[in-house]
Amino acid sequence: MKVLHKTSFIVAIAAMLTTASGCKKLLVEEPRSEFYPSYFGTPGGIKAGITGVYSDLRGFYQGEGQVHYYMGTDESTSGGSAQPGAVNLNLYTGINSSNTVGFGGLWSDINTLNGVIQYAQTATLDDAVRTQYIGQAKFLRAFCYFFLVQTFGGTTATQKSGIPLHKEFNTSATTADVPAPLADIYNFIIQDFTDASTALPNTITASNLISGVGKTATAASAKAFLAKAYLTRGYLSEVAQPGDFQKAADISAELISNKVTYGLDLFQDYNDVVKPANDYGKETIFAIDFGFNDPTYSGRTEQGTGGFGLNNLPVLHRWNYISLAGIDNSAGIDAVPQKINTAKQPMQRDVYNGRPYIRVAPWGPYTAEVAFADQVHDTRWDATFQTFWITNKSVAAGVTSTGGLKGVLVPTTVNSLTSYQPPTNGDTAILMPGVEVTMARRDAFKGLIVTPKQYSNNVFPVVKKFDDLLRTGMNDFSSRPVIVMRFSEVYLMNAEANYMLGKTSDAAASLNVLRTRAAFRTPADAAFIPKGQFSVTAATQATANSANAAAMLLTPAQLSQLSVPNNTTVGSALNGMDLILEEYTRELYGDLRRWYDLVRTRQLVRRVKMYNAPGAPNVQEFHMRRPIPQVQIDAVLTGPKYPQNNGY
Amino acid sequence: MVTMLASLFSLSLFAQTRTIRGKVVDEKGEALSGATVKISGTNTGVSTTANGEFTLQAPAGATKITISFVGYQNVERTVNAQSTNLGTIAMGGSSNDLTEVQVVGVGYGSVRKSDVTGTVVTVDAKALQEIPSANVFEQLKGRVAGLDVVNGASGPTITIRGNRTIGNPDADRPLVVLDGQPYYNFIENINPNDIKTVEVLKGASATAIYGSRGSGGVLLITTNRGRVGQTQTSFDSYTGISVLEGNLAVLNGEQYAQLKKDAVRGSILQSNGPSESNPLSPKEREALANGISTNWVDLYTKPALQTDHSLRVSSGTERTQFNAGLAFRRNNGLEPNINNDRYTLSTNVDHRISKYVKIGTSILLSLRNSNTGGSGQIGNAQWITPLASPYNADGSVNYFPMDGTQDATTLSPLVPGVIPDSYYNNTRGFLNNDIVYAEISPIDHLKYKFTVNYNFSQSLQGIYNGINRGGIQTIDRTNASTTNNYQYRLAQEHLLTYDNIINEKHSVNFVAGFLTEKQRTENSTSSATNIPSDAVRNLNLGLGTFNSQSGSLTQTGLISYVSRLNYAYDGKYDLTASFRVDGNSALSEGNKYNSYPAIGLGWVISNENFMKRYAFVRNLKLRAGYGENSTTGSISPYGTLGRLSSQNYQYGGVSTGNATGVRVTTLVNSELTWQRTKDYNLALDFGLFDNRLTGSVEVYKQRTTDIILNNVLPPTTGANGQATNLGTSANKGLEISLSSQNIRNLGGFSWSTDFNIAFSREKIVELPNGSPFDINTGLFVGQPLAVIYDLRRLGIWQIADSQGINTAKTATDGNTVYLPVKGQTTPLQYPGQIRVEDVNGDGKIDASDNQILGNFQPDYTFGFTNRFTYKHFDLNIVIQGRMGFTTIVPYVSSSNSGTNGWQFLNIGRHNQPVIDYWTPENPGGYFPMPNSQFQSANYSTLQYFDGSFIRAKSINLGYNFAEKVAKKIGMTSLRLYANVTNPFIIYAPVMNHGFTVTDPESISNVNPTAVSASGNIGGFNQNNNNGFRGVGISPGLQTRDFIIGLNARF
Repeated sequence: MKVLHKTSFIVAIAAMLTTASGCKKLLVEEPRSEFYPSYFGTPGGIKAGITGVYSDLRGFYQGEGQVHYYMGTDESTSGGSAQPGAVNLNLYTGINSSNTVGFGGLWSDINTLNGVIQYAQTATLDDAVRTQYIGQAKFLRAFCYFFLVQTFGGTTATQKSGIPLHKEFNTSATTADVPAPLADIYNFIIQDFTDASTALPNTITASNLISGVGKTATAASAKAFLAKAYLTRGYLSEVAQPGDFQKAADISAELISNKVTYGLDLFQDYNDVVKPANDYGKETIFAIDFGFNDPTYSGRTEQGTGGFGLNNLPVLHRWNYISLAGIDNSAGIDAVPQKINTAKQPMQRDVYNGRPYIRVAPWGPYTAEVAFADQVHDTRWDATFQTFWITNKSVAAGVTSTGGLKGVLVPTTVNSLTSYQPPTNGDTAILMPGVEVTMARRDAFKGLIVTPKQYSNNVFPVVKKFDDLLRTGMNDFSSRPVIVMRFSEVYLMNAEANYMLGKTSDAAASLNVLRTRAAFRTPADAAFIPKGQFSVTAATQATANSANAAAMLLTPAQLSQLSVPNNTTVGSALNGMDLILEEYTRELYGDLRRWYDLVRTRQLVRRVKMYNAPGAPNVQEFHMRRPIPQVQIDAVLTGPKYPQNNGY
Repeated sequence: MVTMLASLFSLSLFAQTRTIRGKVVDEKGEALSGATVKISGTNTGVSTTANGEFTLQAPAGATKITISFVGYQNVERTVNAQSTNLGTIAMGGSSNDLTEVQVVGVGYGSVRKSDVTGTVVTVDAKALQEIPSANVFEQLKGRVAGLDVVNGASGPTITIRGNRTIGNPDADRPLVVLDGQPYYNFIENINPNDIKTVEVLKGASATAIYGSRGSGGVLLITTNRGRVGQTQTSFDSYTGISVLEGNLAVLNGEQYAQLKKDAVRGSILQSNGPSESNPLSPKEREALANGISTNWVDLYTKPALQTDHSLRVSSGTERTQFNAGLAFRRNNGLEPNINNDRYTLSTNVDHRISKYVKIGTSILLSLRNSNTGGSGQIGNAQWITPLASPYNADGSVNYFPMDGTQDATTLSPLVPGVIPDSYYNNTRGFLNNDIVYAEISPIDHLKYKFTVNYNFSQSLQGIYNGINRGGIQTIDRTNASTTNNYQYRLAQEHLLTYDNIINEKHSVNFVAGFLTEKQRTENSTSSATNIPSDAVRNLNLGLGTFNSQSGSLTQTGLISYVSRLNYAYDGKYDLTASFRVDGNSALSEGNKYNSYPAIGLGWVISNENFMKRYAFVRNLKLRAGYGENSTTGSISPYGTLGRLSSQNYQYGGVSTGNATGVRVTTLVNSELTWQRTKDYNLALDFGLFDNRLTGSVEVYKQRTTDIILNNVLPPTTGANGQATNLGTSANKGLEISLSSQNIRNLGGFSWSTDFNIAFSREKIVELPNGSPFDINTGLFVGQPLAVIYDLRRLGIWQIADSQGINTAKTATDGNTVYLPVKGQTTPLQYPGQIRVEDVNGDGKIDASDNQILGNFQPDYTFGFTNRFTYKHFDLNIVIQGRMGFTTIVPYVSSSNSGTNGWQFLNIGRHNQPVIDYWTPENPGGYFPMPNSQFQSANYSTLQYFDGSFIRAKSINLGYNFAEKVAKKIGMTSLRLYANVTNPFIIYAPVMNHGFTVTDPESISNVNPTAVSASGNIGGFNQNNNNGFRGVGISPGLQTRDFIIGLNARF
């Protein structure tokens, strides 16, 4: 009996343990540390969906992929270290469906926004909140579609392919898709931007529902992009609607006349536009943020040598001022590269001069010699480009330049790996004066002089407007935002729309606002201008500025050019659009846009043939759409095969 | 019902017989389970239990019983009415034959070896301990045909019978079962000295009983348990030194300076001009003049100590047995500031409460403490300039030996050894694995066993990257983190076993069970930057600046029903049938349950009458089996629910704008299920010449269907792809195992040999959507699961291939400049550059010239162990080989840096291995001429070599003190031994190419130089395929260990 007691005791415990574990529940999954689609049903989830899309747009604007905005235009060429894909885009040879340009992520964004818009209708939200969230989502959805349609197009009578149009939230896997009519896509974009412009607040205030800081979407950004969408459609003869240009002109004019309402204005000094402190200032309408601290939110990673920050724009535009800047040039030698003695490099990397990637170079024949030909009255060249390099490298005692005439390398006090000081003294190692110089000047100069005719894709002026001097590592990228819409562009769009409407004087008025602003200089700016270039002192400031402003007004010759209607015929004489596109270059050089400006105005082929010699023989009309990525074509397995864009 | 009838049947016998009891032990007093006890002259008999005990119902007239056990001499005992309890019966004359273990574990119980139809290979403690190691996987190298052990970053990994899962070799790892319960923790928590046997289950007919977790094979690890008899104490201890097995020869100072000169010459010769991208810095020139040449690797690595001590006590009475093992191990790294300590306590108790009830418990406690803070400098040590003094004038370490060059901020590899506090990475992990069981035998032959396994593990990791670590020059860049990992698992198992021999000829073993398993893992990580003081490290992150915090939870559940019938008729015909149903929480609703059948047949030919005349054939058995199983390694929990990707954003670029965000990047997956492997196995086991030659030959064929692959979706749908059951792979192979006793005690000399060889062929049968290949992921139908797809290197372009001399450039560049070579228009190539095969002969090297150059699956693998004893001495040598596969040597071709390789010939920027590079004076050079401006195109083609190797894995020489001597010092036995692990390489062609190879054994975490990085656009992205194996440059993965140890028994 005793034995039986023990046995039954153990059996009882065993049975107890078995029943306690609740078998069926074992197979039910209850995730707790991640989010699943049900999260969209909550107010927090709707806002998070919008934030997630902003985050993806940050990803969209980081890295080296940005070169596609520059390649194959009149403004820029591929730098000496450009990736093969960038070179293809520049030369218009070998562009195929593997040259994907920002395709994948944006569709996840669109689907996420479709979900946000769907769920926001029914979620428990205050109506005012609901309106703003939907406004944000519609702005972003239109923003994504606008980029995609400009890049890949839609179907028309003559175009058989383009992007699809998804308006509803997709939750199930499918391998079917078809391109949508271009007209429908533009209608959808214009509707979304229009809805957003009424739903969103005019300015960002501390109580903004998405963020009290930064430059997220507002009514002003919705209107600016709405104007741009009308403007863009206006050129597309197959889908253009009467009044597109007029609407672009009206909306941009409204933004300008009500600029106080929208908290927008131009800075008096163009140099202020490109200063980090003003990234979120009155001239910025819409920007995608990066950030320096909190890797969880800013996404930046610290790498041993790769650096902080994610915005790669500063390094893409930088030449190798270290290894290509030996200054042992002998007397009388006038060639670039000059005879370089790399043992006597005058430069080393530091925070100010930054890390060279050599991916994009300004295209000398147009950018330096046409668009920025006037560097005296126009401050924008000096504000945009770094054109001189101060020796920052100690050289071992007794080492002198063997060239004799050029003198000794003098170590400067501005020699720091870790802290930034503006170069104010020390020898100038490299100078790009922006004009041709005499041999005597070269021989008298200790360092290297590089003149416009010597610019190449390895040696060139560096775009400095993106430089992030707050970073601590010299190899770091930038944590400054990418500014996608500036207030000055509204003036340019207004000028462009009025020009297309034939209203030359209205166009000229808008251009002159920017041109006269560009004439303004202060003595403080002189620190960033090579000695010997045009700069003002406190004494000369007033006179010089008024004289320059007068000189910057469109001349009668320019005005008559402005009245020549847009002509996209290859080889045709200069017309008003050329003048406007040059103004875009001067005002916005370096911003992520040029290829799209040329495509919008349908001037791509003509301008490339005019100014981009390597690309000129190859560029064709069909290049105004990028090829549909192969992954899309390969993955559509249900229904009709996904067609490729014409020409590819 | 069956059991009820059976027990009634046995009860009816009971009345006419008397019960004879006893216990059978071997000459060491260890219980012999499975010995046959028969009434002499009849076929009435039973087998002894796991404890060696037997209970025999003998007819009243029986006078003698015979006890037999393969490998032992038969024993006869007289029985009569007075002596029904025969006590302990010892058997003698045992042989060391490993294949003769009578009862083998097959999962959820064990069956007689002679009745097994699946493939089970047993490796016992003695063989394992021939290779002293912390890791039993390492000890299994070369021991079992078809079990391939390859080193990797986190220790050895095992593949059994090739790879099945396309693109995910980790899904093919075997399931480890420790003392009957699945074990998912790090294998090194188990002290190999606690292991009694490892049974390797291969092929689905053996592993289908493990269902959804069985397709990678199963390792059944059984630990020592207490035995009836005197208390046994054993002490096993060894201490040794690990050294770098081979040191990579890198250029010395003068050679380095010459490389830079040659790089400029190359640049001129190849028409890139006379510029020098990376000239010697003034400091390097000075060092060259002063004759300084530093070998950083020598300074960086040091021989390391390893020591291992295990103490074990076991004893038992008839009712209670226990075993307790306590062990400590310390294993330092070759790199500074690296060490690993392990403490294990393994105890188990078995107690019989009564004839009906037995209970027991096993507890494994393991504490591991490791610091890896100083690792990862070997790459730097190998590429830093030799033209720099490692120390300053005052004797302190020179922190920045590359000062004055482009890599000025590169820290000396010696720095971590100088400031270990700044390189702190410490993990303390604790594991507690408890198994408790109760076994009830209400009637004879029937057992109900209830087992609970609670497994708890926790680890705490602290990391601090302090001042002067690479890139950290200011306090605000210091960072620290604390990571907590916590995991528990609760498994219960109800097993009903019926085991009987009915009517003397029908041996029946039936198992049915119900099991559940719940596993929960939580972890959290907090990190901060701006740590004010080295003293703080990670211990109060609040003193720094908040950086990030994250956490995760996964919980999985498994419900299973298992059953197996093993039936043997007359010792000649065997049948095994098993069926398992698994329900798993990771699958989507409606797809959670899967079932797994298997069947096996065996025919013991040697027991047939017609075989009697072939006396030399002691054993001959034919086995055939079929089974199905899966792997759960390919779907992660919650993977079907459409997880939103977490994407945070910092509005305005300032902390006040921090916001959490999500995005829809995957879609709900309602159809996903496990992939499925179907396996056919055919085997012949044999024992010849009095079992002096035993072995088996096996062939198998597998087909794995519904492999989980990414089904690429149109990006416009908002998701890039979805895990989908697509794809098929197939494996087939041949395995041969042989054991022979070549010399049995000839004048005190014995020699025995184990040999195994396995041929395995894997291939992809089907890819998603019927595509014949997927270049982006490197998959090709008809090829093994990971292949090399690149251009083929033919050699180096010679001066004779050039179109001539470029006279104009020669005049200005200061040396001879050659025109491009003839016959290749794109890209233009010059003498001294890599010549690749232009497959279509169009003069252009492009994607269409790519070809499959090799794969990582060996043609065959083998192990060869020889054991010699002469009087008191014993010697064994383990040899292992993997033959006929391609390996990757990225460090002679790489543009990478780090542990896989570094910038080879990259315009002379870094130091590099001594290699045979081309110059006009050395036209036979294997490698291209260095060029100070550009790397030769397609340098990835330089990295592929024959990876075959045969190595001596270990040599172990022991001396057994004579019993008398041992007794004098109070021991029953004492053995002293000396061991060398990885003593020498016998054959490795990769070592014959003019560069040094630290170890030819290809490891799994060496990534190749990207084909695209070397300029080949059409090659695939190596990051998409993790099946690569290569020869790396990191120390510590394979060390040469010199060990002295002792085995003492008290």
